[in-house]
Formats: sequence, C-alpha cells, structure tokens
Amino acid sequence: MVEVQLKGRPAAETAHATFSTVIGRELPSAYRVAGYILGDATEAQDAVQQALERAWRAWPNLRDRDAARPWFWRILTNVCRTRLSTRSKSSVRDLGEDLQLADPMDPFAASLMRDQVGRAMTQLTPDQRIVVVLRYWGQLSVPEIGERLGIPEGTAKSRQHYALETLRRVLERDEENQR
Amino acid sequence: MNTAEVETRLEGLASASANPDVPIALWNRLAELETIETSAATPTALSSRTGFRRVGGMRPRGLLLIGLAASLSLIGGIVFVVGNHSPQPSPTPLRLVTATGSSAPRATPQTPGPQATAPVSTGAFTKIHEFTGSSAQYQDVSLSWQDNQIVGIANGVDSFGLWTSCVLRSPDGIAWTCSELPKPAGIAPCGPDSCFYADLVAVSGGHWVAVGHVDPRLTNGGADSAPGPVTTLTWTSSDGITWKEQPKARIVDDFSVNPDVLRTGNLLPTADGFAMSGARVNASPTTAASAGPVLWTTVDGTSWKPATFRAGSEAPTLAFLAYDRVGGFLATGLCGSGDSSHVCTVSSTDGRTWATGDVGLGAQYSPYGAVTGHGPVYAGGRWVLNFIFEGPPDQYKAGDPIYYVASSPDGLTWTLSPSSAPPLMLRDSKAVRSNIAGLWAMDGDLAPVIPQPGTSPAIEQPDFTPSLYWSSTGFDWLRVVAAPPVGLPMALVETPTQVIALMVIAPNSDNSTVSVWAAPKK
Repeated sequence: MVEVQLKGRPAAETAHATFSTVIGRELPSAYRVAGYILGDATEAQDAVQQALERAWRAWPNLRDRDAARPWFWRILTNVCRTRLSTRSKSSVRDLGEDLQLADPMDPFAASLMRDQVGRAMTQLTPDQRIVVVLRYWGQLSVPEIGERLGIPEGTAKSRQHYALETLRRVLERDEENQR
Repeated sequence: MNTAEVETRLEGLASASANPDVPIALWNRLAELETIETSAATPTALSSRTGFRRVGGMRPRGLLLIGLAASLSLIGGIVFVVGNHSPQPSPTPLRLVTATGSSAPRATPQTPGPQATAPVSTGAFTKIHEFTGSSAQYQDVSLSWQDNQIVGIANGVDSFGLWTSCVLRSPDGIAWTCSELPKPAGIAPCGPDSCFYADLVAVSGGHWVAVGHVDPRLTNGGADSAPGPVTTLTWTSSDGITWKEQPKARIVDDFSVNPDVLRTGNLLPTADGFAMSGARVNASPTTAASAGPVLWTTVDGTSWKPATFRAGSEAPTLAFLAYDRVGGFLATGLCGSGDSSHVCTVSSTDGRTWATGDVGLGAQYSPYGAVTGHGPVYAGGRWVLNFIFEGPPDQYKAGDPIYYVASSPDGLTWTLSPSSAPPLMLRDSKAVRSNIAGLWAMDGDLAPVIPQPGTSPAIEQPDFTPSLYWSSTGFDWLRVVAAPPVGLPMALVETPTQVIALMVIAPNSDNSTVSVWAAPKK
C-alpha cells in the first residue's frame, strides 16, 4: 500500500491515540463482560478502570501492538479473577450471597437474578465463571477464550465443560427441590 | 437435563441480558490517561455507586460507531474508504493455490486487476461545523449523497434524554436539518430507551423512503427484555421533511435473531421504486435456509414484497446489496443449506428481476460483509468481493487459503483466486444511489485473521489510524489522507467537490461531541 499523503504527528501523540482507539473500542464489551463476571456494575466499572490504568502504564513496553487487544483482555480478566477470589476468601459472604444482596437496580445483577441459570452461576468457581461469561456474554469461541485468558485451548475447554456440568447439577437439584 | 440444554439456556440468558452503557467515568478516565505520561499514570479513586444512564443503552447495533469509519463514495470506479493503515502490507500479486481438502473452495486463475494509476487526492480535513444541543448526542449516523444533497440517518438522544431518530439533510455540510421520524403507531411505550431505530434512507423520483426497526427486547433498557420478533419499519415522505410510518409495510422478524445480529443491509432506488436487503448476521448455514426473503422490493414504501428471481435462480439467505451505475445491482449471500451451503450472489440490471451467480466458495468463507455488512465494490469495470475464512476450526486445513478475492464483470460469472492478504478490512458497505456507493470501514472486530491448522483463527489487532483510502481497482488501496485529527470517524460522504466526515468525541455519553470536517477534492 502506498502512502500518498500522510500528516505527520509526534510519535508520543500517535502512541496515545493508538491506545485510546485500540483500547477504547474494547470498553463496551469489556464493561459488559466484567459486569457479568462480577455481577455488579460498580465493581465492573472499578475493574475496567483498574485494567485501563494497568494497560496504560504497560503500554510503552508492549512491543507487539497488534496483540494489544487480547493483552488488554488478559489484564481485565486477571483483575476480575482477583476480585472474585478476594470475595470468596473474605469468607464474609460468597458470590451467591453477593448476588442475592446486590442492588436490584443493578442491571447486571438484575439480569442474572431473574433467571434460574443466572442464579446458578453463583456456584461456579471464578475461573469457570469467567469462561462462561466470555463464552456466552462475550460470544467468544473456546480458542478465543484461551487466547484472551492466556491459557491453552484445552484448559479453556475443560473449564467450560466443568462449568456446564456444575450448572447442570445445580439446575437439576433446584428442579427437584421445587417438586 | 444435559449440558446442551444448559448451553441453550445460557445463550438465551445472555442474549436477553441488559447491556448498559459504559459509564462516562470510564470514558473520562481513558481520555484522562491520554493527557499524562505513562510513568505518571497513577490510579485514581475508583467509582462510587451511581445511577445508570439508560438512554441508548440497548442500541441494537451496540457501539458500532466506536472506531469505525464511514460511508464512502464510488464515482467512476474510484472508491474512498476510511480505515486503518499501518499494519497492512503492500498489496502482493495474487497467486493461484490449488484447493486442498474437502473444505477448500474451487479456485481458478485470475487475471490481476489493473494497477492503480495516479491517485486522487484531497486537501487536509478542516472543521466546518459542530453539532450542538441534542444534535451533539447523535450516536449513529450514516450519510450519502442523493438528490444533490447530503442525506442520512441520525439516531441519538434529544435534550430530554429521549431516544430520537431523524433524517438528516444538508446541501454543503455546514447547514443541517434533522426531520424527526415519528414513533411507530401501536408500539408499546419504551420508556427513555430506544424503542425504534432508523437505519437507512433513500430518495428517488420524489419519493423518500426510510427504514428502521423496532425490537421489543429493548424496552426498559433491556431489563424487561424477552425473546420476540424484530419488526422492520418503513417511513415515507414526499419532501424529506414530513414523515409517516407505514404500518402495512412492516416486516416481522425477517432480518434478526437478536439485537446484536440485526442488520438491515441496504436500501436502494430501482427502476420501479426501491429494493432493500437484509442479513441474518451470524446465522448458521444449517438454519439460514429458513431465514426467509432477505431481498425485498417496494414501489413507494407503503408495502414490501420479496424480490422476483429469474427462473432457476436460488434466493440467497443472506444478502448485502450494492449498486453501481455501470455494474447495476449486486447482493452477496449464502445459497443452499447445511453441507451444501455456499457463497452466492444475486445481480440485476434494473432491480426488477434477479439472477444468481456462484462464487465457488463454501459457506466457511465469508465475504467481508455478507455476514457483517461488508459489501461488494464495483471498480475497474468489475465487481470485487473479498473473502476470509470464518468457518469452524475443523473445516480449516493446513494450506487452505485464508483470503480469497473474487471478481466478476456481470455478477454472474466469477473468477476466484487466493489472496495473500486483504487489501483492506472493510467493516460495512452501503450503496445508496446510482453513481454513489458507500462503505463502512474497518474496526477492530474484523481485523485480519490468521487461522492455524486445527484451531480457530487467531486475531491480529492492527493499529487503528483512520484514514481515507482510494482504489481504482477494488484490489489495491492507496492511502490518501489522514482522517480529521479529533475523535473517531462516525460517517463519511463524498460530494462532487469534497469529502465530508463526521467525527465524534466521547460517543454514547452526555459529553458526546459531533463535528463536521471537509477535505476538498483536487
């Protein structure tokens, strides 16, 4: 491709614009996925902001800018995983209780709570929950999930498998209890 | 219960889930980061629990405008497009690769297109207008040059925070009028959110037709969403100012499975009125056959009927429609179903009768657009379509080409050849009137894809520096000038004397700013 006319810009400015445009375009889906991983809009906002700041600090060291998108997603999912893990380790309340106590006006929590399978997701481990949200809310394939999480495809597939098994068991149990 | 049922329930829950706007604080933080050195980027206080801004929160097209470029014009085989540039390799000669494996397409030699001659050029973009008030809240705009004026569709929120859609008109890019499309009669109240969405507008012979859609799943910001049909809406006008919705022209659920996959492809004037295409985005080849007609015609917008196909022609189940004053009409889509599903085209010289052509590719290859809105380009005396492998991993075999390019002088007989790299990743394409075609340029969702044997394609994310591109062939693209240096491109249109771009800052937020920039053609 021949560049016919190029308006020059300082390198730093270009780098900033690239960060803004590349990462900025990920914000809507990042916020949505973080929201359904965490089940809480405020936490999702915090997680995305945290990921943004981490990414910005590391941006100059990112040699392969072509890989920026999956790289940012790895940062974000790591932030979310840490938050989920911190919740469960706090032993004050588990994720399910979190969801039950969530603000009913919270759009993420409300969407999950109104459906049996959404409520059942509280029984998943953080890693399983991340895979499920990326798969169904993020509409990613298993290999794409592996890429986003920086894990082998087989691991992503395994987590999805065990997540679905867990959900199946929870749903069956719930249905039996209702009889 | 088995895990397949669980998957189905998860899919249903995900598609019916709310899709809230990105909080403005995040957009602000992103903009803030740009102003400081990376070493000084220290975390700020995280958010406090606040209410949610629901306006526009369930836009059917999501946030497509972010990072995307704009419609463009094609005049005499010259195509402009705004898109990325830096990672794109120089065009390489097309080479013939022998098809391998059952999944491989049928490849035939191709005569390379003519090389680009001296490119057209423009001056730099200068700002000529800025939308203020509620007009600054436009969240999605498409523009085209029709009837000696700029016309388009704008969707956004008004000064009361209510969703509104209107038909834009401007003679010069400086003075603009926005004629509101009335709310469809009988549609249930939607609260502050978008209960209907305008997509396209066309004008011909004194008739104005606009199409859009309404989705009951959008009510109450998605909180009350439930599976239901999507209805395509039509408005008509005799002057482009006063519009009336036509209840008898409603088409129910023909174009969509859920809001994220809705795509009204294009609306074009024909010899007898107008033709409209649609695409069932993400439709499975095994189910696409039940999608119903995706090519419709109307005389005046008061009612639609399925397009008439020449005897023996297959009607495609996906269609994207383009028009060129020399090449006529061309739509791309899928014909057949299941294992026999394959890429096909339908063409017409007048928009009355349509005939099918076979590109020679299986359904695992997607045109840049048959699935997501990318359209054909007519340049250098032929139609040009670009394809990329998007099938499941088990359909990809080592050695299979990733990219193909197909060309045809008539839309019926196609010459197909592997392509070593895409000339440009085109996001979307819209053609609106005789000698003008439009393209939506790439955004990161459709970055080059490099499949590996036995795996799904890995995504390469290019830098995104919006630019204006030019092509005389549809194969190779030359960068003309950088996009306006502010915001993100939202719409682009070529007039006889200039290229006009709409740029947006902080899209989908209360601080959204939309400005108009013009680059004179030389």
